[in-house]
Amino acid sequence: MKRENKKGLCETCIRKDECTYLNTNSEPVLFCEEFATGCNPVRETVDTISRGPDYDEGYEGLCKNCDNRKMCTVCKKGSPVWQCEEYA
Amino acid sequence: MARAEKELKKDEKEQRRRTVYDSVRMQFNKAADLMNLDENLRKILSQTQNEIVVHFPVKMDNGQIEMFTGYRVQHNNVLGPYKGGLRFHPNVDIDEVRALATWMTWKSAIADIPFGGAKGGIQIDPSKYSMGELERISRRFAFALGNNIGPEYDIPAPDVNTNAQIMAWILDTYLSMVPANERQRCIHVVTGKPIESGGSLGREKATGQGVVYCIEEWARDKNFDLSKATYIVQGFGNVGSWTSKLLKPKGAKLLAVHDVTGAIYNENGIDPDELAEYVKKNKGVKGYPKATPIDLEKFFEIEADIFIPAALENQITEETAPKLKVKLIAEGANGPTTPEGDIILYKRGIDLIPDILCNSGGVIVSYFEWLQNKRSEYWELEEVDCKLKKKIIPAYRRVRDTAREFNTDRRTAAYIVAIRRLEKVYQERGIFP
Repeated sequence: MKRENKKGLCETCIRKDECTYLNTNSEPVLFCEEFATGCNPVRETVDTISRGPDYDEGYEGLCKNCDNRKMCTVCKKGSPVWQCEEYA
Repeated sequence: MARAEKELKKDEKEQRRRTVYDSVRMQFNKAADLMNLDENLRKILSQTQNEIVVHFPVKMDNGQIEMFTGYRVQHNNVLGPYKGGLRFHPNVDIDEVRALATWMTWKSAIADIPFGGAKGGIQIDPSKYSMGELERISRRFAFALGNNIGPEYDIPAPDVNTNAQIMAWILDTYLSMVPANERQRCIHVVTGKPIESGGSLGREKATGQGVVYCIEEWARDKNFDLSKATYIVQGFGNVGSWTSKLLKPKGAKLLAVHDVTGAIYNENGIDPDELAEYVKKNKGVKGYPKATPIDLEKFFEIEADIFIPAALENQITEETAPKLKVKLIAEGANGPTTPEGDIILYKRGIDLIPDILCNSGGVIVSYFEWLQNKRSEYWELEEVDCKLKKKIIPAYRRVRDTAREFNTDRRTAAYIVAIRRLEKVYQERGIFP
Protein backbone atom coordinates (compact mmCIF):
# COMPACT_ATOMS: atom_id res chain seq x y z
CA MET A 1 0.00 0.00 0.00
CA LYS A 2 2.99 2.31 0.38
CA ARG A 3 3.01 5.23 -2.00
CA GLU A 4 5.52 4.74 -4.80
CA ASN A 5 4.62 8.04 -6.34
CA LYS A 6 7.27 10.68 -5.80
CA LYS A 7 5.62 13.34 -7.90
CA GLY A 8 3.07 15.94 -6.86
CA LEU A 9 2.65 16.83 -3.21
CA CYS A 10 4.19 13.57 -1.96
CA GLU A 11 7.67 14.64 -2.96
CA THR A 12 7.99 17.15 -0.16
CA CYS A 13 5.56 15.63 2.31
CA ILE A 14 7.26 14.76 5.59
CA ARG A 15 4.77 11.94 6.13
CA LYS A 16 5.54 10.12 2.88
CA ASP A 17 7.52 7.34 4.58
CA GLU A 18 4.74 6.49 7.02
CA CYS A 19 1.90 7.15 4.56
CA THR A 20 -0.64 4.33 4.40
CA TYR A 21 -2.78 5.62 1.57
CA LEU A 22 -3.30 3.50 -1.46
CA ASN A 23 -1.61 4.46 -4.67
CA THR A 24 -2.19 2.33 -7.70
CA ASN A 25 -1.60 4.84 -10.44
CA SER A 26 1.13 7.17 -11.48
CA GLU A 27 -0.78 10.42 -11.48
CA PRO A 28 0.70 13.02 -9.15
CA VAL A 29 -1.20 13.85 -5.97
CA LEU A 30 -2.55 17.39 -6.22
CA PHE A 31 -4.76 17.46 -3.14
CA CYS A 32 -4.18 15.81 0.21
CA GLU A 33 -5.81 16.75 3.48
CA GLU A 34 -2.87 15.31 5.38
CA PHE A 35 -0.06 16.81 3.36
CA ALA A 36 2.55 18.26 5.72
CA THR A 37 5.87 19.97 5.30
CA GLY A 38 8.56 20.18 7.94
CA CYS A 39 9.51 23.33 9.79
CA ASN A 40 7.22 25.68 7.98
CA PRO A 41 7.61 29.01 9.73
CA VAL A 42 4.47 30.39 8.15
CA ARG A 43 2.37 27.64 9.58
CA GLU A 44 3.81 28.36 13.03
CA THR A 45 2.98 32.04 12.70
CA VAL A 46 -0.62 31.44 11.85
CA ASP A 47 -1.00 28.84 14.56
CA THR A 48 0.09 31.50 17.00
CA ILE A 49 -2.37 33.98 15.59
CA SER A 50 -5.30 31.60 15.69
CA ARG A 51 -4.62 29.75 18.92
CA GLY A 52 -2.88 32.25 21.14
CA PRO A 53 -0.05 31.31 23.46
CA ASP A 54 -0.18 28.25 25.73
CA TYR A 55 -1.29 28.64 29.33
CA ASP A 56 1.89 27.50 31.01
CA GLU A 57 4.36 29.67 29.15
CA GLY A 58 4.85 32.20 31.88
CA TYR A 59 2.20 34.79 31.18
CA GLU A 60 1.56 37.21 33.99
CA GLY A 61 -1.16 39.51 35.27
CA LEU A 62 -4.78 39.13 34.24
CA CYS A 63 -3.82 37.11 31.15
CA LYS A 64 -2.64 34.19 33.25
CA ASN A 65 -6.13 32.90 34.00
CA CYS A 66 -8.25 34.82 31.51
CA ASP A 67 -10.80 32.71 29.63
CA ASN A 68 -10.33 34.85 26.53
CA ARG A 69 -6.57 34.48 26.48
CA LYS A 70 -6.45 31.83 23.75
CA MET A 71 -8.23 34.12 21.33
CA CYS A 72 -6.48 37.27 22.53
CA THR A 73 -4.14 38.97 20.08
CA VAL A 74 -2.60 41.48 22.49
CA CYS A 75 -1.34 39.54 25.52
CA LYS A 76 2.42 39.11 25.40
CA LYS A 77 5.06 37.26 27.36
CA GLY A 78 6.82 39.59 29.79
CA SER A 79 4.18 42.30 29.47
CA PRO A 80 1.71 41.73 32.27
CA VAL A 81 -1.73 43.29 31.78
CA TRP A 82 -3.51 44.58 34.89
CA GLN A 83 -6.47 46.36 33.39
CA CYS A 84 -8.47 44.84 30.57
CA GLU A 85 -12.09 45.31 29.48
CA GLU A 86 -12.05 41.87 27.84
CA TYR A 87 -10.84 40.00 30.92
CA ALA A 88 -13.11 37.08 31.74
CA MET B 1 -17.64 8.30 -31.67
CA ALA B 2 -17.99 10.95 -28.94
CA ARG B 3 -14.84 12.79 -27.91
CA ALA B 4 -14.83 11.56 -24.34
CA GLU B 5 -15.30 7.97 -25.51
CA LYS B 6 -12.34 8.25 -27.89
CA GLU B 7 -10.17 9.50 -25.06
CA LEU B 8 -11.16 6.57 -22.85
CA LYS B 9 -10.10 4.13 -25.56
CA LYS B 10 -6.47 5.15 -25.27
CA ASP B 11 -4.29 2.26 -24.25
CA GLU B 12 -2.82 1.95 -20.79
CA LYS B 13 0.53 3.40 -21.80
CA GLU B 14 -1.13 6.50 -23.16
CA GLN B 15 -3.21 6.84 -20.01
CA ARG B 16 -0.04 6.89 -17.95
CA ARG B 17 1.21 9.78 -20.05
CA ARG B 18 -2.06 11.63 -19.61
CA THR B 19 -1.50 14.96 -17.90
CA VAL B 20 -3.64 16.32 -15.11
CA TYR B 21 -5.08 18.87 -17.49
CA ASP B 22 -6.01 16.09 -19.94
CA SER B 23 -7.95 14.36 -17.15
CA VAL B 24 -9.90 17.52 -16.37
CA ARG B 25 -10.69 18.04 -20.06
CA MET B 26 -11.76 14.41 -20.36
CA GLN B 27 -14.36 14.85 -17.63
CA PHE B 28 -15.55 18.06 -19.29
CA ASN B 29 -15.88 16.32 -22.68
CA LYS B 30 -17.88 13.48 -21.14
CA ALA B 31 -20.45 15.92 -19.79
CA ALA B 32 -20.33 18.05 -22.95
CA ASP B 33 -21.04 14.99 -25.13
CA LEU B 34 -23.99 13.99 -23.01
CA MET B 35 -25.59 17.43 -22.95
CA ASN B 36 -24.77 17.96 -26.61
CA LEU B 37 -22.90 21.16 -25.90
CA ASP B 38 -22.54 23.63 -28.73
CA GLU B 39 -19.24 23.00 -30.53
CA ASN B 40 -18.17 26.64 -30.37
CA LEU B 41 -18.79 26.86 -26.66
CA ARG B 42 -16.85 23.65 -26.20
CA LYS B 43 -13.89 25.32 -27.90
CA ILE B 44 -14.12 28.31 -25.57
CA LEU B 45 -14.42 26.33 -22.34
CA SER B 46 -11.66 23.90 -23.34
CA GLN B 47 -9.13 26.72 -23.18
CA THR B 48 -7.94 28.94 -20.38
CA GLN B 49 -8.42 32.67 -20.93
CA ASN B 50 -5.15 34.04 -19.51
CA GLU B 51 -1.92 32.42 -18.39
CA ILE B 52 0.46 34.67 -16.52
CA VAL B 53 4.00 33.53 -15.79
CA VAL B 54 6.17 35.86 -13.74
CA HIS B 55 9.86 35.59 -12.90
CA PHE B 56 10.87 37.78 -10.00
CA PRO B 57 13.93 38.34 -7.82
CA VAL B 58 13.93 38.19 -4.02
CA LYS B 59 16.75 39.03 -1.64
CA MET B 60 17.51 36.09 0.67
CA ASP B 61 18.64 36.35 4.30
CA ASN B 62 22.26 35.77 3.24
CA GLY B 63 22.16 38.79 0.93
CA GLN B 64 22.05 36.74 -2.28
CA ILE B 65 19.33 37.24 -4.88
CA GLU B 66 17.24 34.25 -5.90
CA MET B 67 14.91 34.14 -8.90
CA PHE B 68 11.45 32.61 -8.56
CA THR B 69 8.79 31.56 -11.04
CA GLY B 70 5.13 32.19 -10.29
CA TYR B 71 1.98 31.36 -12.21
CA ARG B 72 -1.56 32.60 -12.36
CA VAL B 73 -3.92 30.89 -14.77
CA GLN B 74 -7.34 32.42 -15.32
CA HIS B 75 -9.68 29.93 -16.92
CA ASN B 76 -12.99 31.74 -17.18
CA ASN B 77 -14.72 34.83 -15.77
CA VAL B 78 -18.11 35.05 -17.42
CA LEU B 79 -19.89 34.32 -14.15
CA GLY B 80 -17.79 36.69 -12.06
CA PRO B 81 -14.22 37.52 -11.04
CA TYR B 82 -11.61 34.78 -11.36
CA LYS B 83 -11.30 32.90 -8.08
CA GLY B 84 -8.87 30.28 -6.89
CA GLY B 85 -6.02 29.42 -4.57
CA LEU B 86 -2.30 30.02 -4.64
CA ARG B 87 -0.04 27.09 -3.85
CA PHE B 88 3.65 27.08 -2.99
CA HIS B 89 5.23 23.81 -4.04
CA PRO B 90 8.30 22.73 -6.02
CA ASN B 91 6.16 20.71 -8.44
CA VAL B 92 3.80 23.51 -9.36
CA ASP B 93 3.79 23.84 -13.14
CA ILE B 94 1.64 25.42 -15.80
CA ASP B 95 -0.16 22.19 -16.69
CA GLU B 96 -1.17 21.55 -13.09
CA VAL B 97 -2.28 25.14 -12.60
CA ARG B 98 -4.36 25.03 -15.80
CA ALA B 99 -6.15 21.93 -14.58
CA LEU B 100 -6.86 23.37 -11.17
CA ALA B 101 -8.04 26.71 -12.63
CA THR B 102 -10.46 24.92 -14.95
CA TRP B 103 -11.73 22.86 -12.06
CA MET B 104 -12.42 26.05 -10.07
CA THR B 105 -14.68 27.35 -12.87
CA TRP B 106 -16.89 24.27 -12.57
CA LYS B 107 -16.84 24.39 -8.79
CA SER B 108 -17.99 28.01 -8.60
CA ALA B 109 -20.60 27.46 -11.31
CA ILE B 110 -22.13 24.46 -9.59
CA ALA B 111 -22.42 26.30 -6.28
CA ASP B 112 -24.14 29.17 -8.11
CA ILE B 113 -21.74 31.79 -6.81
CA PRO B 114 -20.67 34.72 -9.01
CA PHE B 115 -17.07 33.64 -9.50
CA GLY B 116 -15.02 32.26 -12.32
CA GLY B 117 -12.05 29.94 -12.09
CA ALA B 118 -8.35 30.58 -11.55
CA LYS B 119 -5.36 29.08 -9.81
CA GLY B 120 -1.77 30.04 -9.24
CA GLY B 121 1.35 29.35 -7.35
CA ILE B 122 5.09 29.59 -6.99
CA GLN B 123 7.54 26.82 -7.70
CA ILE B 124 9.20 26.62 -4.26
CA ASP B 125 9.54 24.38 -1.26
CA PRO B 126 8.51 26.78 1.54
CA SER B 127 10.08 24.62 4.25
CA LYS B 128 13.50 25.70 2.92
CA TYR B 129 12.92 29.40 3.53
CA SER B 130 12.83 31.52 6.65
CA MET B 131 9.70 33.38 7.60
CA GLY B 132 11.22 36.67 6.46
CA GLU B 133 12.15 35.17 3.11
CA LEU B 134 8.66 33.75 2.65
CA GLU B 135 7.16 37.11 3.40
CA ARG B 136 9.37 38.77 0.79
CA ILE B 137 8.65 36.01 -1.76
CA SER B 138 4.88 36.36 -1.21
CA ARG B 139 4.95 40.13 -1.37
CA ARG B 140 7.16 40.20 -4.45
CA PHE B 141 4.89 37.67 -6.18
CA ALA B 142 1.87 39.86 -5.43
CA PHE B 143 3.78 42.84 -6.80
CA ALA B 144 4.76 40.89 -9.94
CA LEU B 145 1.13 39.93 -10.53
CA GLY B 146 0.17 43.58 -10.16
CA ASN B 147 -3.22 44.32 -11.68
CA ASN B 148 -3.63 40.75 -12.82
CA ILE B 149 -5.28 40.24 -9.43
CA GLY B 150 -7.87 42.56 -7.93
CA PRO B 151 -10.98 42.55 -5.73
CA GLU B 152 -13.33 42.65 -8.70
CA TYR B 153 -11.04 40.85 -11.12
CA ASP B 154 -9.13 37.90 -9.67
CA ILE B 155 -9.25 36.88 -6.03
CA PRO B 156 -6.58 34.49 -4.70
CA ALA B 157 -7.04 32.29 -1.62
CA PRO B 158 -4.93 29.86 0.44
CA ASP B 159 -4.07 26.46 -0.98
CA VAL B 160 -1.23 23.98 -0.47
CA ASN B 161 1.48 25.50 1.75
CA THR B 162 -0.18 28.89 1.85
CA ASN B 163 -2.40 30.19 4.60
CA ALA B 164 -4.04 33.16 6.24
CA GLN B 165 -0.70 34.79 7.01
CA ILE B 166 0.40 34.70 3.37
CA MET B 167 -2.98 36.09 2.32
CA ALA B 168 -2.48 38.97 4.77
CA TRP B 169 0.92 39.75 3.18
CA ILE B 170 -0.56 39.64 -0.31
CA LEU B 171 -3.43 41.86 0.79
CA ASP B 172 -1.06 44.37 2.35
CA THR B 173 1.16 44.44 -0.74
CA TYR B 174 -1.77 44.84 -3.08
CA LEU B 175 -3.21 47.66 -0.98
CA SER B 176 0.09 49.51 -1.07
CA MET B 177 -0.15 49.50 -4.89
CA VAL B 178 -3.55 51.21 -5.04
CA PRO B 179 -4.23 54.88 -4.27
CA ALA B 180 -4.50 55.59 -0.56
CA ASN B 181 -8.13 56.66 -0.75
CA GLU B 182 -9.17 53.38 -2.37
CA ARG B 183 -7.44 50.94 -0.04
CA GLN B 184 -10.41 50.29 2.24
CA ARG B 185 -12.47 49.35 -0.81
CA CYS B 186 -10.00 46.61 -1.79
CA ILE B 187 -9.86 44.37 1.30
CA HIS B 188 -11.61 41.64 -0.70
CA VAL B 189 -8.65 41.19 -3.06
CA VAL B 190 -7.93 37.90 -1.25
CA THR B 191 -10.03 35.54 0.84
CA GLY B 192 -8.93 33.16 3.57
CA LYS B 193 -7.52 36.07 5.55
CA PRO B 194 -7.05 36.00 9.32
CA ILE B 195 -10.31 36.97 11.05
CA GLU B 196 -8.73 40.18 12.35
CA SER B 197 -7.76 41.22 8.82
CA GLY B 198 -11.21 40.65 7.33
CA GLY B 199 -11.58 36.87 7.31
CA SER B 200 -14.94 35.19 7.81
CA LEU B 201 -16.14 33.20 10.76
CA GLY B 202 -16.94 29.61 9.87
CA ARG B 203 -14.21 29.27 7.23
CA GLU B 204 -12.33 26.57 9.15
CA LYS B 205 -15.28 24.19 9.33
CA ALA B 206 -16.91 25.28 6.07
CA THR B 207 -15.95 22.28 3.94
CA GLY B 208 -16.99 19.78 6.63
CA GLN B 209 -20.21 21.69 7.22
CA GLY B 210 -21.00 21.55 3.51
CA VAL B 211 -20.37 17.79 3.45
CA VAL B 212 -22.82 17.35 6.36
CA TYR B 213 -25.52 19.48 4.69
CA CYS B 214 -25.19 17.33 1.55
CA ILE B 215 -25.41 14.10 3.58
CA GLU B 216 -28.50 15.42 5.41
CA GLU B 217 -30.16 16.23 2.11
CA TRP B 218 -29.34 12.77 0.74
CA ALA B 219 -30.85 11.23 3.88
CA ARG B 220 -34.01 13.32 3.45
CA ASP B 221 -34.24 12.17 -0.18
CA LYS B 222 -33.88 8.53 0.73
CA ASN B 223 -36.07 8.78 3.82
CA PHE B 224 -33.08 7.55 5.72
CA ASP B 225 -32.77 8.11 9.48
CA LEU B 226 -29.39 9.74 10.01
CA SER B 227 -29.59 9.18 13.76
CA LYS B 228 -29.22 5.46 13.09
CA ALA B 229 -26.53 5.84 10.44
CA THR B 230 -23.06 4.38 10.64
CA TYR B 231 -20.15 5.82 8.72
CA ILE B 232 -16.45 5.45 8.03
CA VAL B 233 -13.99 8.22 7.25
CA GLN B 234 -10.74 8.25 5.35
CA GLY B 235 -8.55 11.16 6.41
CA PHE B 236 -8.87 12.96 9.71
CA GLY B 237 -7.51 16.35 8.75
CA ASN B 238 -9.66 19.48 8.60
CA VAL B 239 -12.45 18.01 6.43
CA GLY B 240 -12.59 14.53 7.96
CA SER B 241 -12.54 15.72 11.55
CA TRP B 242 -15.03 18.56 11.09
CA THR B 243 -17.44 16.37 9.14
CA SER B 244 -17.30 13.75 11.90
CA LYS B 245 -17.68 16.31 14.69
CA LEU B 246 -20.69 17.84 12.95
CA LEU B 247 -22.29 14.44 12.31
CA LYS B 248 -22.07 13.56 16.01
CA PRO B 249 -25.05 15.70 17.12
CA LYS B 250 -27.12 14.09 14.36
CA GLY B 251 -26.65 10.74 16.11
CA ALA B 252 -24.60 9.09 13.38
CA LYS B 253 -22.03 6.57 14.57
CA LEU B 254 -18.39 6.70 13.42
CA LEU B 255 -17.18 3.10 13.04
CA ALA B 256 -13.74 3.44 11.52
CA VAL B 257 -11.12 5.95 10.50
CA HIS B 258 -8.18 5.52 8.15
CA ASP B 259 -5.53 8.21 8.03
CA VAL B 260 -1.91 8.59 7.02
CA THR B 261 -0.76 6.58 10.07
CA GLY B 262 -3.14 3.61 9.87
CA ALA B 263 -6.73 2.47 10.38
CA ILE B 264 -8.82 1.98 13.53
CA TYR B 265 -12.22 0.44 14.18
CA ASN B 266 -14.77 0.26 16.98
CA GLU B 267 -18.12 -1.38 16.33
CA ASN B 268 -19.64 0.57 19.24
CA GLY B 269 -18.56 3.87 17.76
CA ILE B 270 -15.66 6.30 18.00
CA ASP B 271 -16.15 9.72 19.59
CA PRO B 272 -15.06 12.26 16.91
CA ASP B 273 -14.26 14.99 19.46
CA GLU B 274 -12.05 12.71 21.53
CA LEU B 275 -10.37 11.35 18.43
CA ALA B 276 -9.73 14.87 17.10
CA GLU B 277 -8.00 15.76 20.36
CA TYR B 278 -5.93 12.56 20.17
CA VAL B 279 -4.95 13.24 16.54
CA LYS B 280 -3.92 16.77 17.41
CA LYS B 281 -1.48 15.47 20.01
CA ASN B 282 -0.30 12.31 18.25
CA LYS B 283 -0.39 13.42 14.61
CA GLY B 284 -2.55 10.49 13.58
CA VAL B 285 -5.13 7.91 14.61
CA LYS B 286 -2.55 5.18 15.19
CA GLY B 287 -2.58 4.01 18.81
CA TYR B 288 -5.96 5.56 19.69
CA PRO B 289 -6.83 3.60 22.82
CA LYS B 290 -10.61 3.41 22.39
CA ALA B 291 -10.51 1.55 19.07
CA THR B 292 -8.80 -1.47 17.56
CA PRO B 293 -6.19 -1.21 14.80
CA ILE B 294 -7.28 -2.93 11.59
CA ASP B 295 -5.63 -3.88 8.31
CA LEU B 296 -5.88 -1.16 5.71
CA GLU B 297 -7.40 -3.61 3.23
CA LYS B 298 -10.16 -4.38 5.76
CA PHE B 299 -11.07 -0.71 6.06
CA PHE B 300 -12.72 -0.71 2.65
CA GLU B 301 -14.72 -3.83 3.53
CA ILE B 302 -16.39 -2.43 6.65
CA GLU B 303 -20.17 -2.48 6.46
CA ALA B 304 -21.52 1.01 7.06
CA ASP B 305 -24.12 3.35 5.62
CA ILE B 306 -21.81 6.16 4.55
CA PHE B 307 -18.19 6.41 3.45
CA ILE B 308 -16.56 9.83 3.59
CA PRO B 309 -13.25 9.90 1.71
CA ALA B 310 -11.62 13.06 3.05
CA ALA B 311 -7.95 12.47 2.39
CA LEU B 312 -6.58 12.49 -1.13
CA GLU B 313 -7.11 11.46 -4.72
CA ASN B 314 -7.50 8.05 -6.33
CA GLN B 315 -8.55 6.03 -3.30
CA ILE B 316 -11.74 4.46 -4.70
CA THR B 317 -10.35 2.47 -7.58
CA GLU B 318 -11.21 -0.62 -9.58
CA GLU B 319 -9.52 -2.49 -6.74
CA THR B 320 -11.32 -0.92 -3.77
CA ALA B 321 -14.71 0.04 -5.25
CA PRO B 322 -15.94 -3.59 -5.44
CA LYS B 323 -15.13 -4.07 -1.73
CA LEU B 324 -17.18 -1.17 -0.40
CA LYS B 325 -20.29 -2.10 1.58
CA VAL B 326 -21.89 1.32 1.90
CA LYS B 327 -25.00 3.07 0.59
CA LEU B 328 -23.46 6.49 0.05
CA ILE B 329 -20.07 7.98 -0.71
CA ALA B 330 -19.76 11.66 0.21
CA GLU B 331 -16.55 12.97 -1.34
CA GLY B 332 -14.99 15.38 1.12
CA ALA B 333 -11.62 15.13 -0.62
CA ASN B 334 -10.88 16.26 -4.16
CA GLY B 335 -10.80 13.46 -6.73
CA PRO B 336 -10.97 10.45 -4.39
CA THR B 337 -12.58 8.25 -7.06
CA THR B 338 -10.89 7.16 -10.27
CA PRO B 339 -12.92 6.95 -13.52
CA GLU B 340 -12.74 3.14 -13.23
CA GLY B 341 -13.98 3.32 -9.62
CA ASP B 342 -16.83 5.58 -10.71
CA ILE B 343 -18.09 3.02 -13.23
CA ILE B 344 -18.08 0.27 -10.60
CA LEU B 345 -19.93 2.40 -8.03
CA TYR B 346 -22.55 3.38 -10.60
CA LYS B 347 -23.09 -0.23 -11.64
CA ARG B 348 -23.35 -1.33 -8.01
CA GLY B 349 -25.96 1.35 -7.31
CA ILE B 350 -23.93 3.08 -4.61
CA ASP B 351 -24.98 6.71 -4.31
CA LEU B 352 -22.30 9.34 -4.67
CA ILE B 353 -22.13 13.02 -3.83
CA PRO B 354 -19.31 14.21 -6.11
CA ASP B 355 -16.40 16.24 -4.78
CA ILE B 356 -17.14 19.26 -6.94
CA LEU B 357 -20.43 19.62 -5.04
CA CYS B 358 -19.78 17.89 -1.72
CA ASN B 359 -16.68 19.85 -0.70
CA SER B 360 -17.79 23.19 -2.16
CA GLY B 361 -18.51 24.59 1.33
CA GLY B 362 -15.02 26.09 1.37
CA VAL B 363 -15.39 28.14 -1.80
CA ILE B 364 -18.92 29.17 -0.80
CA VAL B 365 -17.71 30.61 2.51
CA SER B 366 -14.85 32.31 0.64
CA TYR B 367 -17.57 34.03 -1.38
CA PHE B 368 -19.21 35.08 1.89
CA GLU B 369 -15.91 36.53 3.10
CA TRP B 370 -15.63 38.50 -0.15
CA LEU B 371 -19.21 39.75 0.25
CA GLN B 372 -18.70 40.77 3.88
CA ASN B 373 -15.59 42.77 2.92
CA LYS B 374 -17.41 44.45 0.03
CA ARG B 375 -20.24 45.47 2.33
CA SER B 376 -18.02 46.27 5.34
CA GLU B 377 -19.91 43.71 7.41
CA TYR B 378 -19.04 40.96 9.86
CA TRP B 379 -21.50 38.11 9.91
CA GLU B 380 -22.21 35.94 12.93
CA LEU B 381 -21.34 32.27 12.62
CA GLU B 382 -25.05 31.35 12.55
CA GLU B 383 -25.56 33.64 9.56
CA VAL B 384 -22.63 32.08 7.70
CA ASP B 385 -23.95 28.56 8.37
CA CYS B 386 -27.48 29.46 7.37
CA LYS B 387 -26.35 31.06 4.11
CA LEU B 388 -24.07 28.11 3.35
CA LYS B 389 -27.00 25.75 3.75
CA LYS B 390 -29.12 27.89 1.44
CA LYS B 391 -26.44 27.67 -1.24
CA ILE B 392 -25.35 24.06 -1.05
CA ILE B 393 -28.72 22.34 -0.74
CA PRO B 394 -30.17 23.80 -3.96
CA ALA B 395 -26.87 22.85 -5.64
CA TYR B 396 -27.34 19.29 -4.38
CA ARG B 397 -30.90 19.22 -5.75
CA ARG B 398 -29.82 20.57 -9.14
CA VAL B 399 -27.26 17.78 -9.44
CA ARG B 400 -29.75 15.12 -8.31
CA ASP B 401 -32.39 16.29 -10.77
CA THR B 402 -29.91 16.58 -13.63
CA ALA B 403 -28.68 13.04 -12.99
CA ARG B 404 -32.28 11.86 -13.35
CA GLU B 405 -32.89 14.00 -16.44
CA PHE B 406 -29.84 12.63 -18.29
CA ASN B 407 -29.98 9.20 -16.69
CA THR B 408 -26.34 9.52 -15.73
CA ASP B 409 -24.10 9.40 -12.69
CA ARG B 410 -24.02 12.34 -10.30
CA ARG B 411 -20.48 13.37 -11.13
CA THR B 412 -21.31 13.85 -14.79
CA ALA B 413 -24.55 15.54 -13.74
CA ALA B 414 -22.58 17.98 -11.60
CA TYR B 415 -20.46 18.94 -14.59
CA ILE B 416 -23.57 19.35 -16.71
CA VAL B 417 -25.08 21.70 -14.11
CA ALA B 418 -21.92 23.80 -14.15
CA ILE B 419 -21.53 23.86 -17.93
CA ARG B 420 -25.22 24.68 -18.45
CA ARG B 421 -24.88 27.75 -16.30
CA LEU B 422 -21.94 28.95 -18.36
CA GLU B 423 -23.70 27.99 -21.61
CA LYS B 424 -26.70 30.13 -20.71
CA VAL B 425 -24.56 33.20 -20.04
CA TYR B 426 -22.64 32.77 -23.29
CA GLN B 427 -25.91 32.40 -25.20
CA GLU B 428 -27.29 35.57 -23.63
CA ARG B 429 -24.17 37.66 -24.03
CA GLY B 430 -22.86 36.31 -27.32
CA ILE B 431 -19.29 36.57 -28.52
CA PHE B 432 -17.68 39.96 -29.17
CA PRO B 433 -17.56 41.41 -31.82
